[in-house]
Amino acid sequence: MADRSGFDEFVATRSPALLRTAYLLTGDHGLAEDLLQTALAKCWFAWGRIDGPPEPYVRRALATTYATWWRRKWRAERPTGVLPERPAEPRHALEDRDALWRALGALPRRQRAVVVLRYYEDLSEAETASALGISTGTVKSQAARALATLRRDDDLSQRMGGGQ
Amino acid sequence: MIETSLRELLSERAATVVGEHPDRIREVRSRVAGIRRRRTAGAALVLVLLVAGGLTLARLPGKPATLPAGVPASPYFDDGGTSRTVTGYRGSSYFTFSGPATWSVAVRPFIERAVVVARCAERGDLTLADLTGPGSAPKLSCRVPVGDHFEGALLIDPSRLAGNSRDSTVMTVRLRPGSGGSWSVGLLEPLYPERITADQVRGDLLDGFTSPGGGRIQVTVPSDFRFPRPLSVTAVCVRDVRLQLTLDGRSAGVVVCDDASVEVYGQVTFAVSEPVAAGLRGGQRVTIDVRSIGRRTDQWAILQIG
Repeated sequence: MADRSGFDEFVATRSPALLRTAYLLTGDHGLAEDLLQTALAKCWFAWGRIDGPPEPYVRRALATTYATWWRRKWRAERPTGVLPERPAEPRHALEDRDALWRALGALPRRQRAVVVLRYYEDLSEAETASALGISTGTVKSQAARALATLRRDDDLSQRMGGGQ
Repeated sequence: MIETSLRELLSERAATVVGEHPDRIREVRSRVAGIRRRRTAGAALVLVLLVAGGLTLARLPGKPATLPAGVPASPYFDDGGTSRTVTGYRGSSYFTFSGPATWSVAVRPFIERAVVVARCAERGDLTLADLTGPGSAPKLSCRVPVGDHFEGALLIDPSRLAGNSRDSTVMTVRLRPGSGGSWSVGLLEPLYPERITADQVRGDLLDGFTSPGGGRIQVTVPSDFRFPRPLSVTAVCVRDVRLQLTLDGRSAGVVVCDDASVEVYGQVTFAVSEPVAAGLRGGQRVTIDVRSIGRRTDQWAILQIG
C-alpha cells in the first residue's frame, strides 16, 4: 500500500495557489475547481512514489490534464454578477488588460499553458518543458507562437500601441 | 513589452481567485473512488479477454504467425527499420535495441487502448515486464514475415503501463527479447475513440445522442470576433463522422473526422469557411444548422463555437 501521508496537508496548504494556476489555465472559476480536483485525484494514486517535493509533480498533472482534456466543454468566460475588486486604474488600462485576457483565452491550450507557466509561475524553459512533458524546443516554439499571436491580435495591437 | 503586460495581467487575474473549497479533501477522495471503480471494471474486462484469448491459443498447434485481433494491419516498419505511418493511429516512442532493455513510453491520457508494435530480425517473443494488472508480463509474438524481417503487435490497455511509474505520462517498461538480433518497438495510439458516451460530452451545444441526424444551434458570435480571425467549431467524434454546417442559410463547410483533421484524441477543430466568416461581426446572433452526412452514428458532439 502506497504511503499517502502528507497528502491531506499538502492539499490544505497548497490548493489555493494551485487553484490560481488552474484558473489562469482555464479562464473559468468553475472549470478551475474541476481541473484541480481531477489533477489531485490523479496524484493521490502516485503520492507514495513521488520523490522530493510533490508540488512540481502536481503542477505537471495540472498542466498536462489541462492541455489534453477534451471531455469537458471549455467555455469562454461566464458573465458574473459580482466584479472582483480592482485597484483604481485609468479606464484604458483596464480595457487593455481585458483585451489581453480575451486574446489569451483564444490561444490553443498548450500555448496558453506555456504562457501561464512561463509568465505566472516564472518557470524556466526547461522546467516548463518538464511540467508539460514536452521538449525545451517545443516550449520555445509554443511561447514564440503565443506571443506572436497576441501581437497580431488587431484589437490588442491597437490598444497597446502597434503590438509592442 | 507584451511579456511585461502578460506578467501583470496574470498576477492580477490570479488575485481574483478567492475562497478555498471548504471540503476539497472529501471531493478528491470521491473522485479517487470513481477512478478506482473504473479501473477495477477495466481490469476485469482485460482478465476476461486474456482468458478467452488464452483458451483460443491453447487449441492452436504452435504459435501463430498472424497478428492478434483488434490490431491494425502490418507493416509497421520498413526494411531499413524506419517506422511507417499506420492509418488511424499515431506512432510514438519508437526504440531500437538488442538484448534486455528499458523502454520509456510516452502515453497520452484518456486513450482506452493502444498497440505495442515490434520489428525483429529473427522470429521470437518479446516479454514486456513490469506492467500492472492481470498477466503482468505479457508476450508479444513477433512472427509475421514482412520483407527482410518479422513483425508483431500486442493490444494493450495503456493504464497498465501507467501503473508502473511515478511519472504520469512517461512510463518505463522492461523488454526481454526471446531472440537475437536487432529489435524495434513502438506504441500506436488511435487517433479516435471507438465510442463516446453522452456523459463525456455533457454540457455540449449539440450531439448525436439527442439528434442523430443533426440539429440547429443558435449562438452569439464572440464580441471580440473580427475577421480574418477564424470562427472555429470544436467537435468530438469517432472516425468518419462528417458534419455539414449551414450558417444563417449559407453553406459554411463540412467538419470531417479523419486522420488529417484530428487535433487531440477524437477532437477536431474546424474553421467556418472564409466567405461566410467574413460577413460576421462580434455580438451577432446566428443560427447554425448541423447535418450528419457521413457515417451513420450518434457518436459526435459540437463542444464549442467561438
